[in-house]
Amino acid sequence: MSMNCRDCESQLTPFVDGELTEATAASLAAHLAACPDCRCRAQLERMGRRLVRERAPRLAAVAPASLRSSVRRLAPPPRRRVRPLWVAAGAAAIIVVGVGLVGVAGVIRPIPVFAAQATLDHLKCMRLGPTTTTSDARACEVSWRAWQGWKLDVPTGQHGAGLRLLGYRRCVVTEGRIAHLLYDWHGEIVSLFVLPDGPKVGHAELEMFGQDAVLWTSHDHTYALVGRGDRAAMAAMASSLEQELAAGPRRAGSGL
Amino acid sequence: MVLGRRARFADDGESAFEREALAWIDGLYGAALRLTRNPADAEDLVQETYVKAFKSAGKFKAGTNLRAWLFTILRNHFLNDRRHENANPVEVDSEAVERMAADASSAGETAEDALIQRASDDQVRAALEAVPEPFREAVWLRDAEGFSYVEIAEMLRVPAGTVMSRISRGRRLLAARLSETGPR
Repeated sequence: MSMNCRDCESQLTPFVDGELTEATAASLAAHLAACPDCRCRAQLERMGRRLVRERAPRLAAVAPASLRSSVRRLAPPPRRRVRPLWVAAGAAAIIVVGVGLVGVAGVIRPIPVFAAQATLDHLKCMRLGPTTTTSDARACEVSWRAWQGWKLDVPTGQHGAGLRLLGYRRCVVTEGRIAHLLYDWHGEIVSLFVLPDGPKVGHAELEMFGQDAVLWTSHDHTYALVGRGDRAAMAAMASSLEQELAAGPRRAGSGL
Repeated sequence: MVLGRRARFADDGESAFEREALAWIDGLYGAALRLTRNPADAEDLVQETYVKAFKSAGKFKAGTNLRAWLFTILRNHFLNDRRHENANPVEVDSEAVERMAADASSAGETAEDALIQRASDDQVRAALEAVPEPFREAVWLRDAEGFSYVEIAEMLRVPAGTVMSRISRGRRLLAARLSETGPR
């Protein structure tokens, strides 16, 4: 079957790439033999093709090492349910801790349950935002004490943790017995739950519902930091908050 | 040769998906450079591409081409980014392409070999740079990255016929450009 210039042009690329059927290729070759214009087109296309294919390895860009390492840091860490540290604590520890927690809030059972509840509250409340909005940690503490009657230490999270205080929320389930502080971390909402007079939990890191939770105890309060994403960053934030809390109350005059 | 290359990785706990994704960073950076024409913007684009890819890893269908998927994300991200508003596909005078093709077509087979062999990398790079973006991109994805017409069509969101015609014109423009500027 004979081919015209238009057919030839539409098939030229698969022809020079060797991707036409034998019959179509033969028909196109016959047209090229008879048509100098199309022959020239084919020749030019072959040349361009050869140029890129032969030179690509030398012309191809190489990503800078700095970019490579930044991207590597973007990769989420391997998924693990529970840290070995936590596994080692064992079921007995969970029960002991759990008994203590039940005493405090009635609705709170073992640490994994507390973590799960905190994570669910975080997921729900981060969309709703704080019920009391203040970026002043001291004002937040005063307001909480006036409302709930117990002393809440509110870390600013500004130094080291890179957090910005947004305010607090009353936890619906625990009716205010657990404080829920909300922070902004580079556009992501991070929650800090504070349980007064809880048992010491040492340090635990868990992953639940796609969120990371870091739990610890400081000054007889049990804390759960919950947020999404980078586990290492969450652990670093928690450590920074822990240090701020361990350093004790801020000097007077920082707020109200 | 990039064509058909597959990333190899050991299953040591780190996600195979991320490892393979990271193996294609050079090609993605090259694509980003060609689109943005600016190393800093290209780095940003590559990082944004990986952020998106890692976040939507669940949407990636196992067994399909991860590299083509990453290139598609990069390209979409580039086009959706308001910073690159001026990067719309260039309208090209197709008659001019044909004229250039005709002008350069007097060279014979031997002249073609000589031209290819004697052209410096800088000359080839400059000639490629001079090819308008839609054609250059199609040629590069095909001849340097080794993607199929269908894969490129999905990436560029144009019919496969358009991809072939862009490749054809891009290759001819490149050859014509080099014939003009290259050693005689």
